[in-house]
Amino acid sequence: MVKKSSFWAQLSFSILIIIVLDLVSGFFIISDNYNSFRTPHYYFHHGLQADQDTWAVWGSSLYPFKTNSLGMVDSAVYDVKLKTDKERLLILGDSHSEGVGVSYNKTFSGILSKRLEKDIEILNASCISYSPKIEYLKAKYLFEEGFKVDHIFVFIDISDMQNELVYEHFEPRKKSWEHEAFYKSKLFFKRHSSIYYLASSIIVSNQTKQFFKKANLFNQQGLMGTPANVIDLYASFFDGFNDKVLLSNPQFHGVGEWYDNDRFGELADLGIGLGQQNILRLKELCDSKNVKLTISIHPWQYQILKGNVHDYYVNKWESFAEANGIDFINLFPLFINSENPVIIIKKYLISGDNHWNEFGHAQVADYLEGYIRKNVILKIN
Amino acid sequence: MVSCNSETKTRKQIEQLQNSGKAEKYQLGIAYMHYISQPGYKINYSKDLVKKLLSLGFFAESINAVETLLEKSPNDPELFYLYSVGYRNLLQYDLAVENLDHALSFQPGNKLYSEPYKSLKEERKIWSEIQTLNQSLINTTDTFPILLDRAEHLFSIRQYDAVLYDLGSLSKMGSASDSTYFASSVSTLYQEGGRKSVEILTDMMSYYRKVRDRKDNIK
Repeated sequence: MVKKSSFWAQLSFSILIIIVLDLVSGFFIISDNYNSFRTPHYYFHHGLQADQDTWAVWGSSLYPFKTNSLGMVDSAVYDVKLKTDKERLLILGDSHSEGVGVSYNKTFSGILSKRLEKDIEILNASCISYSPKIEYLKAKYLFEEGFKVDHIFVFIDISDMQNELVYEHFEPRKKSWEHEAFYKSKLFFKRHSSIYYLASSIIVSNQTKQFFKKANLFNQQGLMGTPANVIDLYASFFDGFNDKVLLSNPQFHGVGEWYDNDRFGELADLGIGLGQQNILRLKELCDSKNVKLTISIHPWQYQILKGNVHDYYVNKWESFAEANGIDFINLFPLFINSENPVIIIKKYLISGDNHWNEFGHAQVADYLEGYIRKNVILKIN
Repeated sequence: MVSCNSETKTRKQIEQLQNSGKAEKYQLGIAYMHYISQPGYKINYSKDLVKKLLSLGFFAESINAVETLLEKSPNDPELFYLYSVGYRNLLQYDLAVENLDHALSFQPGNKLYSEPYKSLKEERKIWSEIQTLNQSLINTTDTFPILLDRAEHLFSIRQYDAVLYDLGSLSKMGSASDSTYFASSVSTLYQEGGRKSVEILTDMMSYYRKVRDRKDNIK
């Protein structure tokens, strides 16, 4: 009996020592990773960790990055009340709306949040590589948490066609405290355990290598100058997508040209169709909660150069919105007008990138401020 | 003490990156921004890094960096000058002039600031004329002379890619031979790898001026 208890005591002591050593060495080994605030999620695929005050990197840009208690990009770390008497508007979208490469206060949601704070609270639950399916799941998750909101603005662009195909078979796991606890402990170990850190670094590195093997476009098309941090994020979002034929086709990754391409036109329609199904699910959810849904569409660089404010993609979404009683905003005219498109790209987009720089965000904020004052605030008052 | 060590460490990392010769542009950009974002940065070294950001073409990043540095050194005229350079390259002329004005208000006799001031104001004037041309494009059906005029204005502020875009639009409005001329000029431009871009674009504008005159004569 004594022997047995001594064995367990020794084992417990050894485990404790290993854990302590692991955590202490983690302090020295785990290096700064400017994207470590990003996290997979069992319900809405991926998102941002709550209460982060850190630096983020996008391409060559290093910028301050903060999240609130609900894991939403924000101007400060603070507790967001689930319910509020104030009118509340939630922004949902991908990297454009998250505002990659630009500090929050200079993004359109940061600017709007400040300018309109007297009348309405603006929160932003956007995240890189979100598309309608994940946006629907995120909204559903927040509603189930008891989050109160009055308006949801969803920001759509052509990358959603590809994302919807990638997420087509993603199934959220059941919302439960076990899953929450499992993910939270994973996050803890990711940040503090050297063993977990080293093992996950090897796994991620292998996954990225596998991705390059499958999708050899970065070598073939001479895109080696693309910053590794951008490629890593791009690679990680294909995790779980196993269509090797599509992945290995460079045109699959040039989503901007899908609907101008005979071979990819069908795929574009499939992606748009899936996106619209998910927006309808979101609309149904919003209706059940008495939330007003608006969708907004903005162009990529390729579309700016094409110069068509009512291209195939815009028409598809505009007619969809009209048919389903959803308010629709077309941001194309802000970036496609009588000005030279090359100058517009230089003025409003991050160099060599599809995302808005601070002036692009300011342009969007100016327009949306007018829209929200007229269509949201005026109606409340 | 901690921030001092960290300053030295980051500075060493930058030097290693620079000396390795293998660092990509964006890695240097991040390293420079990382240094500047630290509380213990040295102002003169930071200003050198901003200049490096500018020389790498990271204009938005340089603006962010200057913004950080201004928090601690709000009366440093060189920072306003660097702000101005960043804004100028992002075609934000009003902000560029405003900041250079500010730098000059601290040091009116500084040639580093006063010399580019004249050319900056000239560029802003051309820029404002380009905005007027953009407006005219909305209200007319005869866009050929306006686009050519705009291409010439853009040429004078060295926006060569934009010039080529406008000339491309012009080539679609003329005869088949105008389109062929455009295609062959672009092909030469690429063959030369941009070395003779100014000469080739000058020839192209001169060609389209003749096309415009021909059109005017027909009218």
